Amino acid sequence: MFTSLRNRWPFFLLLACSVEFAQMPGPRTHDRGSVRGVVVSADGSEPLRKATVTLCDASNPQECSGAVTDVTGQFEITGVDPGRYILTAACNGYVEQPYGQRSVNGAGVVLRLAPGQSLSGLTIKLLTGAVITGNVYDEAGLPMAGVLVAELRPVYNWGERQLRVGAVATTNDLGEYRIWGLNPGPHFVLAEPAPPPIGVRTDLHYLPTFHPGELDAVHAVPVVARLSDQLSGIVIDMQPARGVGVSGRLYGGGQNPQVFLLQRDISALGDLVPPLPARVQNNDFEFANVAPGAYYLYATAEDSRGGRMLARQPLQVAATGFTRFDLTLQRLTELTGNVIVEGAEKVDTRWEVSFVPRNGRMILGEPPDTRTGPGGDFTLHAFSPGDYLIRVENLADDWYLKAARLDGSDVLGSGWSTEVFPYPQHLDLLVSPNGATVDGYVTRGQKTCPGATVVLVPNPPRRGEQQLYKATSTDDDGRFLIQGAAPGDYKVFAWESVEDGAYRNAEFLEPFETRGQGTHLQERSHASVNLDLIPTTDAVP
Amino acid sequence: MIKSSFFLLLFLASSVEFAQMPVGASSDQGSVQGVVVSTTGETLEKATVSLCEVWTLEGCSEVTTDRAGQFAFSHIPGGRYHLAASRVGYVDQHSERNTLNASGAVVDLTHGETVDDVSIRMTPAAVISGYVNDEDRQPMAGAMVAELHYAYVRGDRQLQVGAVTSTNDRGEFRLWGLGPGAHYVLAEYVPPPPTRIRNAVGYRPTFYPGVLEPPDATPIQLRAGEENNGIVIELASYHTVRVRGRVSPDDPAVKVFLVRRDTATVSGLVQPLSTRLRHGEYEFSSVVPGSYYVYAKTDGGDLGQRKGLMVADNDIEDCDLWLSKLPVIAGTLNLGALNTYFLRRLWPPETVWEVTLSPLVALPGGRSFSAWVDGSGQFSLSGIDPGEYVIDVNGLPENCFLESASFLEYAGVHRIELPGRIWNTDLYWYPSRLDLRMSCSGATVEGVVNKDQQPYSGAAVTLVPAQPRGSHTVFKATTSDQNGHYVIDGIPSGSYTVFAWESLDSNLSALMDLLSLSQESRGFDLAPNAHKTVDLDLIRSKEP
Repeated sequence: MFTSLRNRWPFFLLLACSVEFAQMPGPRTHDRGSVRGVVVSADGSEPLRKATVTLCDASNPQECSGAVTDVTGQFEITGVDPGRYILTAACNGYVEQPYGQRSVNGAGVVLRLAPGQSLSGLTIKLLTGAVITGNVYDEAGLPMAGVLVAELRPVYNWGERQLRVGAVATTNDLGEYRIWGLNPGPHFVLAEPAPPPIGVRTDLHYLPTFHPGELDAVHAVPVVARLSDQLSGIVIDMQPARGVGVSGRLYGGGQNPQVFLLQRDISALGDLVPPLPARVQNNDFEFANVAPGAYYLYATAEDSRGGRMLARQPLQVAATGFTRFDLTLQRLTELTGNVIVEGAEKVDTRWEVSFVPRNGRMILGEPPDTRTGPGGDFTLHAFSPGDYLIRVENLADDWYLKAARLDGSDVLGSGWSTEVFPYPQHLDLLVSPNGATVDGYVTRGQKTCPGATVVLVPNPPRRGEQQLYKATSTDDDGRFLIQGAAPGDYKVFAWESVEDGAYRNAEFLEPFETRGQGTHLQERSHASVNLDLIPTTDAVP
Repeated sequence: MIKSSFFLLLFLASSVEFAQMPVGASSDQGSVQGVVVSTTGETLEKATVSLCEVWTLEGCSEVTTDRAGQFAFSHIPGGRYHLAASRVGYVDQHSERNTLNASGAVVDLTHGETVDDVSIRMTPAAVISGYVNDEDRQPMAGAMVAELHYAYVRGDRQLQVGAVTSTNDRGEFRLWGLGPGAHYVLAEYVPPPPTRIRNAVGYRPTFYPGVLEPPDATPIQLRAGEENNGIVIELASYHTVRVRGRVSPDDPAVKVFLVRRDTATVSGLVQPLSTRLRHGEYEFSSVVPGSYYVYAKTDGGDLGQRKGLMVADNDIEDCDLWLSKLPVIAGTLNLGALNTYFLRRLWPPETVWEVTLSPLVALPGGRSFSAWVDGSGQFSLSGIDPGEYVIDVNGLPENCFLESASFLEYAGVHRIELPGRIWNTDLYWYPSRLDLRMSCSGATVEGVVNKDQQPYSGAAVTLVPAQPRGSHTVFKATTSDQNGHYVIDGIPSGSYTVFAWESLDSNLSALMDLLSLSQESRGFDLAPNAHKTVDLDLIRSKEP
């Protein structure tokens, strides 16, 4: 039955897959429905085969199922639980797009699926993506092979403009790269050569460089793509970096220390730019060739009991001379916590608590997330410093996170920026089942608007409280539903299309202030707000 | 090419290693100068030349050749070094310790020598390009494509993965930097996550020109610098089925993996399929028939379970897994009969030893596991993925080697095959102990390689156990230095033969044949700590 006969006790290990299993709760299967439709090219002329169609929970985009289209472009997704969904299609060479999109950057419509319901006849039209090709050359004009080339686009992250990595390719021996399936709009192209192996002293290295040959994103020239553009000859010229030495000493004890430099000013690039490791001997560390710029210098180690230790310092490396910097390792301490349900003695739920880093990147390891015990308690050993938004992931749709207190002080409203704790800390999270609900219709003239983006924006002075924002899109009837809103004063906006997260930026929002509908929400209140669509033409400055 | 992203993977793993200064480094400082040229005679600018200490291959320096192809290293601490070069468009010269692939030259700088006439000759690289098609002869985007060739690995002739790339939106690929010889091309497509995407068609790893098994594959013969641009692979397509089941306990930290078992030597180019639970359930919606493992593990590695699974023509609905506590594998590292506790007094305090388990088949996506050896010689490993691993200890002092490894679990003691040090962890999901024993009584063989009574530098010197020459035989290899001198140390006691070859192609395809013809060459016995001098006559390459 099995091709490998290495196992000496097959009866013990290769349990047949028919072992009796205790029944566990889950959605009832007869409630499940299906979604059917077809994927075609934008002009509708060509059915698209092998397009991947994904159906994701509208309030939990990680929960997805899907299907791949057949030769006639047809798809069928079965076994779908009742709920609210966003349907998306992706196909080689086309821009990934949601069903019911009103314009290129618009949101899709929310699909409502009643128990046992089958939706059919959905048509998703895909636009041909743009392609960027080019070469990476060194200072002698020779092709550079094995260079990572990334396409970056401006996005809003917590209301700030940042560049985010989209497609990534690697150059071949001719220095060529090819990036495809791109959205229309501005794209920055960044080349990042493989760093020298750890511990190797090298006389020549290159820094991440933007097209056409700029180290700083500010001077980079964006490549503006329109639909189905073939943009060739996008060359990146690399120049060797003239580095300086950085050295120092570690204090605070700790075994097996490792020391790294991480570029600070382009941290939005995520893991694209790897940390630069130091040579460490005893407790002295040395970087032989560091390009001038802003960095985080950080060190990790283990203490004698196997706990983790960390040191982190911002560091400015000057263009000349030798930088010396000492670091003191501190033991990462424990974060304990409790999820408390307002107005309930005891709720038998294991909550998922997560800490979302502001830059989508962690200085050290993975972003912490945890599942509480049945009593709501959790412990994170060795809590890493960072800039976090705290979330409780598995709240019911109409619940909200009401308060987060770290040893008594509020860390919910403003996000949470932390260094290494000097001693163990305790975090209390209060969740409430009494979230407010806002619903209504979006119209333009006499017509309802499916696929409009509806956003609940807190009024000043609470604009900085990221957890208060709620975004959704309208369904086929132009209706929207927002649940689990925290009490307070808000404005509700409806855009035909809006860049994801742009509404968290004050400058972006300013011209639209008069187009929002004010609403005051209390616990368990239900507000109905009908909105006029802000058309895309008005949204483009 | 994913070379650089593979590096990132390695880098982000916890097995980051740091350079260590050679113990007892001499204060004498040497220098090396030379030129990099192509085999056709032209000088090569912008070649990267690396110089690494022979024993550790650490503390490496790199320099780049100038417009005249010249390079220079100066102020090099005394020692023996490997010298190697790489450049776009030419075949990399690897210098791997203790393998027959050690093609980098050896230079002896023990007494602060100045070596100023080194010439490194580089072979123009070959290229294979083409495209990958699906079952309807349409371009397949995002397929992984690998170049494989036969090489001797621990004495076995195996298909080794060389260059790896992926196809673009037009299904095109380009594999570059290849050496001359026979190459095989393998394409594999694994759909990106999530795993709950139903696709009626799936693919199995497919060799050029469209076959599943290596013996049926057609080799592509390339000369130095040759390009073959017409390689088309149609992926072998199958109807897929759905595999799902429940996992208890239902925890967000649980990840469920589906791993192919029947093409273990070549799959793993891409990460195995993996998914989280939804309502305590996992689902792989599009599984190609075949033999698999399903295994579930918490992120912390403390709970896990695994099952074999045969996938045929029907959906599998109830492949359920109960997670149980995964044992921590406790281990010890001993020197002979001595616990390393005593060794701490013998070596500098900053000496760090790390036990590592590296996947037997080194492929992107394969994960290494490691543990630090503490001050009392203890270490513990946990959450190890099922698979075959090579056990090694990093940071061992010069002339020390891992002598034996044994594994103790409830059914008894298993000796782990040494010197191959290959450990199949599939069985070990129970409380267990791993005992490693190292020896610092390695023997040394040295001598001079002669050609026509003159010392010959750059000869490939190989040390081969006299018997047996079967699986997992450890070969040791080096190159004669600028004086024709060679040194091989850290040799376990036993009976050996040593050879010096004028040239040995890096794939060593002819080595086994050569060995069988060389039975008359004199063997010798090495006791622990023995120091033997063996001068060698060069075995000349046949004229082409």
